[in-house]
Amino acid sequence: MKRIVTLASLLLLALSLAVPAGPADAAPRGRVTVALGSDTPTQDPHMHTARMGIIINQHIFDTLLARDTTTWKPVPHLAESVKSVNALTWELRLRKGVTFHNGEPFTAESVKFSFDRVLNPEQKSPLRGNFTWIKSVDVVDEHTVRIVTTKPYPLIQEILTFGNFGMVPPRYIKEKGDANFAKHPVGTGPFTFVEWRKGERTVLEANERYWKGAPAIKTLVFRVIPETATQIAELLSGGVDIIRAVPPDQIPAIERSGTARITATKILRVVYLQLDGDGRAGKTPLTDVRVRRAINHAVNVDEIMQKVLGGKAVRSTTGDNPMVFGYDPAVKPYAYDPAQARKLLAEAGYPNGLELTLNTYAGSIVNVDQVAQAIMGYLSQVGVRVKLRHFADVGQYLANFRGSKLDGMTLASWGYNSVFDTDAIYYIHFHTGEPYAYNTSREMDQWLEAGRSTVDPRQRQDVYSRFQRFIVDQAYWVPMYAQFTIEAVSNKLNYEASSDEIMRVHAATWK
Amino acid sequence: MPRLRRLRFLAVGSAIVGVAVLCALAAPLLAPGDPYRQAVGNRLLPPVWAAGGSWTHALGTDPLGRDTLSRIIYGARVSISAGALAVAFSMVLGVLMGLLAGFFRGTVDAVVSNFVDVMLAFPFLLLALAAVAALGPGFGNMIVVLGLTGWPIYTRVVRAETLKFREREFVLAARALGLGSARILRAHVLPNLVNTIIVMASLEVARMIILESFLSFLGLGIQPPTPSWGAMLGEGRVYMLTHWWLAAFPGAAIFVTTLGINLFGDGLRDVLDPHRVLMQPGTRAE
Amino acid sequence: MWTFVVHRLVRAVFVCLGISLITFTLLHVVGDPVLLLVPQSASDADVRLLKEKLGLDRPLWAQYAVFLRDAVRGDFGESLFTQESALVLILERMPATLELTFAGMAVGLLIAIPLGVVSAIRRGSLTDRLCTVGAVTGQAMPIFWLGIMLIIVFAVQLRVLPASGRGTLAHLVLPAITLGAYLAPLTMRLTRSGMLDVLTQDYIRTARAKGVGERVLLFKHALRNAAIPIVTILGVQFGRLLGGAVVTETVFAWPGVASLAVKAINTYDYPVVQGAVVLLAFLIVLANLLADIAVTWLDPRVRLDEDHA
Repeated sequence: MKRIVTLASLLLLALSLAVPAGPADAAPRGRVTVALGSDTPTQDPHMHTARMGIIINQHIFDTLLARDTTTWKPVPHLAESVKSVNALTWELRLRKGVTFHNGEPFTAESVKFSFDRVLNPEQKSPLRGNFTWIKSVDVVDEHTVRIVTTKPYPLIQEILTFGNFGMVPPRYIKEKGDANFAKHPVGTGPFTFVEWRKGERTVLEANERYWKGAPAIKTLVFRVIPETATQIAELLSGGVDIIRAVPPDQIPAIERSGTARITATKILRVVYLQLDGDGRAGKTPLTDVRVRRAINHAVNVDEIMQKVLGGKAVRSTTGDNPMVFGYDPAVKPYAYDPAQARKLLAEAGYPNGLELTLNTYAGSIVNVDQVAQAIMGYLSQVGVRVKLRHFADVGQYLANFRGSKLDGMTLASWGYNSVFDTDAIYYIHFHTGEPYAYNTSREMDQWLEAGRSTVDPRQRQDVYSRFQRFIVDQAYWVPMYAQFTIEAVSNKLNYEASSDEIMRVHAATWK
Repeated sequence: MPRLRRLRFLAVGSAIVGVAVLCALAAPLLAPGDPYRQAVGNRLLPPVWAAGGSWTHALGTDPLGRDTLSRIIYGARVSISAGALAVAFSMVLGVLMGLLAGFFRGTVDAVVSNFVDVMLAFPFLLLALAAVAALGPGFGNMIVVLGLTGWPIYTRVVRAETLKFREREFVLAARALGLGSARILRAHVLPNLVNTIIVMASLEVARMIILESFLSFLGLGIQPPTPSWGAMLGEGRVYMLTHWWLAAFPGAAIFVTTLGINLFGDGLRDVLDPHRVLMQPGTRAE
Repeated sequence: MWTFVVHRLVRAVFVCLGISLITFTLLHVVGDPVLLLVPQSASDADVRLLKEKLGLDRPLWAQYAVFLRDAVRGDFGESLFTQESALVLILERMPATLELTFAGMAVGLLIAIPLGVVSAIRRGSLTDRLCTVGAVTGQAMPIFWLGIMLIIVFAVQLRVLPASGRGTLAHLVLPAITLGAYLAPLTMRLTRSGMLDVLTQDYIRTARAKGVGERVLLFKHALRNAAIPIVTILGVQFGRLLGGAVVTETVFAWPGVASLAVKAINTYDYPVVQGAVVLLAFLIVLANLLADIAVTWLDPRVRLDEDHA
């Protein structure tokens, strides 16, 4: 059965190849293999939130808006323009002449179908929560749709770039069903789907009729290789061409190899030390601002960045990511000053030091054990004895986070859900009643609500600047740094890592 | 084969095990430095004989600038006690169950054997993984998990051997003489199993030390910053291409210790059972 | 003989039940898959809603009853993450795991049994000592370390074999050696000690006294009896082999059931974990059953005992 379907898709592919190609680019050639640490749970972009899945989806599907790869601002893609008609209505003009891989034309109906599919509670799409501000999506003509929102929504352009909100073909899905679509995806993107062997590999072939012009690579393979050491070995032996999540200490070896080089760039994920300033998880010395400031003085963030991360990080002075809207670079961090830290602790009534828990979890934070242990080392110098609690399981970590059980300090990170805006980090961590908020106050609630409902950028920036000065003064966190994505790529390819952590292999070219 | 040579094995084995145990007991006196003290400025230094190495850190430093030699000496504590405790736990449990099942048979055997089957049919690592995930990582929990998952192998073998011995002349004779079950087990069956148990237990200590590193590999072993050989080996695996010493030295520690334990166990077996040495083919005294 | 097999088959069913119960309890007492299924920013109400939808709010025994009822029909439920049949997910990956374990077992036995027999016969010789050292070395080598070393040498340095993945026979070589090296040391040592035990027993001495040739003695009498502990151990080893497969599959990016199960444990994807563990366990039960049957064939005394039990 599977074979027949594959054959059918090959036939479709053959048919699609028979149609005259668009721009006269050089024909795609060669094969590129990308190593991913885990597999996508499904090929259906709407039915998961997995990073690896988004990376694969982006090569098969197109989103309405894309990101400019230098400014990371939303730019037109399948939607040529997004205009505000009134406070609650947005109009999208769509690109003409785009077809899905199966020949189905891309129209306003496809867009409406894609939105409705995600919004339909029966569909159980995990993306749905991000789209609840939508009241309806209406077709105006073949290439125009209108989105009506329930409230003014300043972040619409951000949401339309969502990596897994690809446009899907209505006829194909209605005819063949969701289960088939999850295994045999059809999109409008630069590559067409060939084969998916679960847990092993996804194979794609260049879409020679792609509306932006055919990609340079003929065959693109995403291979699942969980072990980092194996990934590096494969890269050095020529078995794969691109790997991601390279440990900083392996950079020199790869650069020296002569077969591959490093491409690294800053990303949205920030790392910080959250302190339980509310005492949400129980009585703690951290409710005293002097103790929180002492901890800020004790940790040498710059040294961690230089030594543990090989300089592959960007300092954040407020916990916010310097790349996003609302970050205020003028806010000064606490200086590394162990003597001052000891003095503050003594003033707070801990001349002989104190004991605190440090919670960490596996995943997301580069070199997390080393960073955590480095922090422990610095704190022990000023008399803070640290009890490490490591969550090997992210689910348990999140359950404890939400369940008010992360006492003391938490080495946390935040990925902004790919939204380049300050609201995406602070609201959820500082607004009263939010599941991750361990530091709250009436004042902060007001600022956060103002930031969320104001549309004027200057006013929003002002609110967020005030907010950041406040949380740094109160030392609720130890702001640390924004991470890099560190990828390694074969010397045969022109390819650069992306700040939104979505690998754009479709943009790669041969040297 | 000359008895003397076997004794020499025993001596060498004892010496190695002795040194390892000494490291474990006297770690603070032997270690050149504090295994927890980090100096990020001195991270990833190579061992003394490699370019850039120095006597300050004879075996180099780890990614946090901690002294590898000190961590290996302190690691002996954790690894050896984890291995020994887990084996002691599983051995006592497993041998008891095996003796009971093999000697009494009937319902006892059925219950024990069924339970053993359940445990043995459980892919060990998955069971350990699920159990550690359930109990949470940590030294005590790890011993319990390793112990609980390690016992059935003794039971299996001891039961099979007991079944065999049960029909042997000397046990039949003892029974004919009216000796009680417990007495027969203790006086006749158990001593005859000692060899097998020693061989298994000696291998098991080593295996437990290695399983600890498996759990570390999958992120559920001894938690940092506590040094254990397994955890160090696990941490070093990404560095095998670039900083080989991080995995090589704890690996060597495990290897040498295991070798010592095995020589010790083998030697002991020959000393405990001279009969066997006399009977072995080629050197038969008869 | 058949009564015995039926007996053991009935027992096998109970074993699988026991295993499913242990797995079920372990997973449900601790984990919470719901938080991994919703976006990090989901509200507590969303979380509760999803929990109800998945039936995870019901009492444990009720969940287990449902699980059991469906499992009997061969339905282990759907993966919480991909909404696919857990059974299908597992079966898709089963060939890879079987391929790896059988290849590993073949490599392991080919190394272990000849060496074990030789070292028992030539006890104390240089060969014996080398084998012992080899066994200890193998035993002392964590397989992920060995696996990565093999990759570095044969894929990165010599470039003669692929570093990871499944496909051609060449892809199978390094993982099979790794897994075989995991199996070999213990098997070799048990073969050796089993042979030694047998060689010193009365009937061998009698046979030898009667003038039976050494070769006949060795292969007809000694090896046959030494096979009992070896075969018993092999049944047991199959479980270990699958355990070793967890690590081997991870290192070599081998798309098998074991690594699927580890991933599922980490994400509390209950249906997949339960399905994988029960199916793997079933395989191990089967291997043990075969081992037991082989033992009764080799040693008539055991069979008589079991028949009357």
